[in-house]
Amino acid sequence: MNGPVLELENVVVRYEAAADPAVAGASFAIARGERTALVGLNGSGKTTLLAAAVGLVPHEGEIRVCGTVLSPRTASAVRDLVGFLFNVPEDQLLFPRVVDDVAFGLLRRRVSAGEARAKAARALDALGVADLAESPVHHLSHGQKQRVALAGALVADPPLLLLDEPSAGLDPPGRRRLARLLAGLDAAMLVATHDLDLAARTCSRFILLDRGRVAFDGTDVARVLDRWEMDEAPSKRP
Amino acid sequence: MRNAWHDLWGCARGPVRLLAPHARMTAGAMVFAACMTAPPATAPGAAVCVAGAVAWGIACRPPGKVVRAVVLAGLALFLPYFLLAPLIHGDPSAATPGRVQALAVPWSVFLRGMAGMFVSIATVTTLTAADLHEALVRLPVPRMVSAILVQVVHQTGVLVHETRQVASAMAVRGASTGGRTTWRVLSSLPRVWLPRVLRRAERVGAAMDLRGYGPDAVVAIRVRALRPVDGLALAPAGAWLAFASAVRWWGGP
Repeated sequence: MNGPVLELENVVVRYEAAADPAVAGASFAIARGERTALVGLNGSGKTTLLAAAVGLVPHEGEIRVCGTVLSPRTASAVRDLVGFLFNVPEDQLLFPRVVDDVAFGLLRRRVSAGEARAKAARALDALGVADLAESPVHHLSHGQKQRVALAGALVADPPLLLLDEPSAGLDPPGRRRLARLLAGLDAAMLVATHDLDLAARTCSRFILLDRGRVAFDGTDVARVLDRWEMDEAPSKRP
Repeated sequence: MRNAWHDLWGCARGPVRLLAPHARMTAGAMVFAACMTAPPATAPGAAVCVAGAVAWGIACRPPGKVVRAVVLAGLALFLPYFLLAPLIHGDPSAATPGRVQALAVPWSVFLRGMAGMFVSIATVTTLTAADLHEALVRLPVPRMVSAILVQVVHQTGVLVHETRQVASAMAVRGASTGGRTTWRVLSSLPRVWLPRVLRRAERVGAAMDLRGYGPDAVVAIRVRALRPVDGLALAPAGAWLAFASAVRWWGGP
C-alpha cells in the first residue's frame, strides 16, 4: 500500500465536561516513513489526538490508518498497525519481566514463543537494553522503562508509531540517544512533544496544535518557534 | 519504583526456590490445604498444622523481617477472637468442660489463620511476579483468572507506589507532624489520592485495551518443565496433606 499511513479528516474530539472541543477539526495525513512532530502548549490537544487515532477516545470526522477507517468495529485491527508509546511508560508495562512484556505483542499475534523471544531480544538489543531482558520491570529507571516500552511498541514492526512525549523525564544523554534511535527507524511516526530539540533532530515535518486546531503544518521548525513566541508575547507584557 | 510489595515477591532464600515455579505453588497449596484440613482442636491436628507451617517456612526461608511482620499481623488479626470465648456456650452434656469447648473455636480460627497466612506468605516469597506468571501458565487455572491475578500483583505495586508518593509529599510538607494540619491533609486525601489512582487505572486500562491484554495474554515465553527434584518436593507436601486428612478422618472435627 502506497497511500498515507495515517489520515485525519476534520477530526473533532469533545470531552463531556469541557465547553470547547479538545481537538477541533484537525486534518492532515502522514505518508509512509514520514516523521512528523506534533507540537503545542499544554492542553493543546496533542495527547487527545494521539488517543483518538487509535480509538481510545470517541471522535467525529474520519481517521484512517493504512486505509482502514477507524471505528469501534475496526479498532482492534487498527491497533495492530500502530506502535503506541504512552507518556508515562510504566502505565503500559503490563508484565513483571521485561522480555515477557516486549514479547507480548507477538504472542498475541500467535507468533511462536521461541520466535517471539528472539524478536523481543532483537528489539531490546536495538534499543541498547538487551541486558535487561530478564529484569523485573519495577527495577528499571524511567529511561530504561521508556526504552522497554518503546521496544514493546516496535517489536511487531508496525508501519506507524504514535509517541506521546517520548523524551519526558529523560536526562540530556537519554534524549540524544532517543533522538538518534527514532531518526534511525523506518516506520512513519507522529511524535507529540514539547521538546523542539528532539523534534528538530528526529522529524522532517512539524504540526503545531493550538487549542485543538492545526495552527501550522510545515517543514520549518523556526516558524514553529515564531508562533510559539507570538503566543507567549501577551503574557510578557507588563 | 521499588517498594515493600515488590520486595516481598521472590525475597526468600530457601531450597524451595530451586523448584519450577508451578511446583512451588502446588507444594505451597498442598501444605496450606494440610493446615486447613488438620483438626486444630486436637493435639495431633494442632501438631500437624504447626509442624507443616514450620517445615514449609524452613524450606522457603523467608527473611526474618517478613516472618516477624506475618506473626505480628496474624496476632493482631486472630487473637481478638479469644475475646469472644466468654460469649460461646458449650454443650453441657459433652465430656469436656464448657470453658474448654468455648476456647476451641477461637483456637481453631487462630491456629488455622496463623498457619494459613504464614504458609501463603512464605510461598509468595519464593515466587517473583514473573515466576507467578509462569506458574499460572502451567497450572490448570482458567485463563481469565490468571490474567487478572497477574495484573493484581503487578498493579498493586503501582498502587503502593502512588500511596507512598502521597505519604512522602505529606511528610515533606509537614503534614505528618500531628495536630490539625495532619487531620486537614488526611481528610483531603480521598480527594487527592483517589482521583490520582483512578486516573492511573484509566491509563493502564487504556494501555491494556491498546495492547490487546485479555485472557489470551497469559502465555509465557519460557515455561520450565517438572524435573525429578520437583517431584521430590511435591511428594512430601502431598504426603503431609494425606496425613492431615487421615488425622482429621480418625481424630476429630
